[in-house]
Amino acid sequence: MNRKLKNKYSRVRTAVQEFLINLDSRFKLGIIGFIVGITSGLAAVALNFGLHYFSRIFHQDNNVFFQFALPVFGLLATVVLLKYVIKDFGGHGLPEVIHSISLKGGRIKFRSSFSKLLGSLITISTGGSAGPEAPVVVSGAAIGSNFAKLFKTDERIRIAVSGSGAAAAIAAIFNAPLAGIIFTMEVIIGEWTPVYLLPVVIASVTGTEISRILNGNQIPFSHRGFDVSIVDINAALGLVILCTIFSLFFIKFLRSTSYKLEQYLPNALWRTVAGGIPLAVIIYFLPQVRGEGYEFVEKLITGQFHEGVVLIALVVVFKVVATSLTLGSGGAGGVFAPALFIGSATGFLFFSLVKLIAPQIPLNDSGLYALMGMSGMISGILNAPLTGIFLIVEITNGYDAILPLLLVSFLTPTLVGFFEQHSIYHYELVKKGFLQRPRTDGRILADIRPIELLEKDQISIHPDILLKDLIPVIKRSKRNYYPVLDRSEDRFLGMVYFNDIKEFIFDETLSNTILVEEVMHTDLITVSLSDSLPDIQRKFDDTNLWSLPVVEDDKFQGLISKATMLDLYRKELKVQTDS
Amino acid sequence: MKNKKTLTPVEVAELLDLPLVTIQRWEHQGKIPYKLVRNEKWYKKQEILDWARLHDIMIREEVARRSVQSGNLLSQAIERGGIYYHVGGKDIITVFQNSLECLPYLKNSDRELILNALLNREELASTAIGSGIAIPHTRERLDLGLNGICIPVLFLENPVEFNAIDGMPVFVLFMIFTASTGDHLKILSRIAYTLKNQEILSILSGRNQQDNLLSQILKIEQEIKK
Repeated sequence: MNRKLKNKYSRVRTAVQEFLINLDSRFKLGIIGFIVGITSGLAAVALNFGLHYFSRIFHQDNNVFFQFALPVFGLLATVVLLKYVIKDFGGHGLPEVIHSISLKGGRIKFRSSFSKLLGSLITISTGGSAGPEAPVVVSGAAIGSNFAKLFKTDERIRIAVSGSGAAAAIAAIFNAPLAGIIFTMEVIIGEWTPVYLLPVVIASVTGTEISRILNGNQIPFSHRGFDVSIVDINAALGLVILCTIFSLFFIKFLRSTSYKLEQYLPNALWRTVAGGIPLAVIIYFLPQVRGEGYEFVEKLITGQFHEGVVLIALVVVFKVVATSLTLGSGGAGGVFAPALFIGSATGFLFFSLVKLIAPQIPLNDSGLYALMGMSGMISGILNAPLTGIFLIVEITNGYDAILPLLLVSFLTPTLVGFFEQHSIYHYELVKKGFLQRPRTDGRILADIRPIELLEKDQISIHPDILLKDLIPVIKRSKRNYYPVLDRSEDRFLGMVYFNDIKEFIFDETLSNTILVEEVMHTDLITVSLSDSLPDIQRKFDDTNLWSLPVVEDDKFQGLISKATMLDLYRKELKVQTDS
Repeated sequence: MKNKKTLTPVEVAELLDLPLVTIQRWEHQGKIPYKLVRNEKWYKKQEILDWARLHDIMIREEVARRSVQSGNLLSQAIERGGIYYHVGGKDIITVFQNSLECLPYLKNSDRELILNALLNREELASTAIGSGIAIPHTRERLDLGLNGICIPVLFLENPVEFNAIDGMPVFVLFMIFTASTGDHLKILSRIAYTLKNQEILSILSGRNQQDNLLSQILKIEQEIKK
């Protein structure tokens, strides 16, 4: 009975697979985008709800010891859960998603669809300074990827669907469909083509709608409208400098904290304790930097914060430190919310400084500067100016500040770029060679496998024959090089190049006396089929040869030539351009 | 394969002149359109052709069409050129003049040009290859608007002195008209190979069997293919 059921199930599955694969690809992408939008949107709403619920529970108790110990235990619980129970990686997880989309055809482990959600729920609700966006993006992408896997879709669709998951997640969290789309295209996929845009747009719309149905159509940071003057536009240039400084500070401090912690404390649990204790101290004395911090951001935007320059400067600096400690010691969460937080505080700091130094300058409103700071910080840290602009416009529901926003979001990453070429998400990937954007040289080389270039039409010869016996081989062969193989075991011994032997072969006495083994090259650089194409390319460059022998376990497999490589390279490039 | 509407991955690989592994990777990565029928991958031929055109990927049939089929190269060329007997003339110039007169497919305006080109080549070095055979051709490839390689075989009324390597007067001409150097090289090597054959030589000299020439060359060429 059971077996019958199983058979029936697999038949149904095959039928569904066939149906899905044979659908028109655009239609297929649309449907999958819709389904992923729903699931990913639900995940976002669930995390948001969980965060509010648990934060309220944990912060009811005003016991000093409890408040002090809470962040440390939260971090420990996160690390134990992620590392030992679910066995997933720590950190914010977005680089892994980008890596998988860039090189692994969008394959993401199923457990990633919930591990980060749970981890960040614990980390953030217990006070860790991190954002819930990256975890939702990771789980959205993982849901999409595994949905694609279930139906055995090809890689292009899987990438599109994983990206859709990410877009729906951002769209649902911020009630910001455009920001979801743009963040996905700009940061995660890196390619604006219809194949990817279609499901991403549909998922983004669906995700937003799910969040609106469940949460109501709330604008996260609604404001009262600004009347932007030319003074503000000029002042934006000053803010750019401050945003650049804090962007760089954030990027470098975050990176060096996790690097140093890992270097000095290889044990994950000790690392968590060592990072958690200073974090707890910071949170105790500066509770503003706790958690995702959106309440504080709202205060800044709506002008309810009046405590002055020193406090806001401390908040900026210690938010960076707290976030670095949280993520460096194994907490789960992203840098998105901290970036918004630091950005708004930076904007406010700039406003307060100008007021303090030159009170006669008629700056508009501290809320406007908080918005500009947010936009600048997101653009600067993520190297994503469009995301910075559209996110701020959508979550504040207003285009009236668009001019200074445009300036800040495009100038900040430009300035940051002088000191730091890669965004916080891409840095590690670029260092490991894991970031290959579509239609780049590295991407094409990464796609082609050496076996596709293998040419087997050479005629091999034995070392103990005379050169004159080579003449019939030369007549038959299409090539002017001949691999020399051992007579008994087929072991690869070397190569004979026609160019080297032509003066001997036309000389009757020499061709009757000289053996192949006397003219063959044995000191050859060989390649293996397991080499990557960039490696093989490098060997071509090093040797300045046009073809290299492929040898596997001493056995000659064939040759790889530059000409074939160019041929396939061009075809690959043509195919990568979208249909 | 011509009339089939669906293709297997192997056939697609052949059609696009790519290794099968590349086609399989493209399937996997979603770069090439296919259908799944009972867990097997099938391609629609028209879809693949459109896809290849869209991405500017060469199709093997087009590649093949561009180069001449090398199967029965020589016999086809002779068939196109025709076999002519009793061509008169007492020296190279008159023999060539009379030969070109025989060939109906040459344009009248071209004959003068061809004659000069042939004589020009003979001045440089004789095209008589011994055993009474000559293979007159021009130095540069002329585009005469002929449909492929064209080799008229012309038996002379009287043997003519051609400054051959072996000193023998020439009694038969294999005139070669080709438009491309590639074809020229191929046909030269084919002629050299075929004319070494003793049977061919005896057919050429034994005048009563000359009708067998074409079928004999075809036989030799088909043996090469094997």
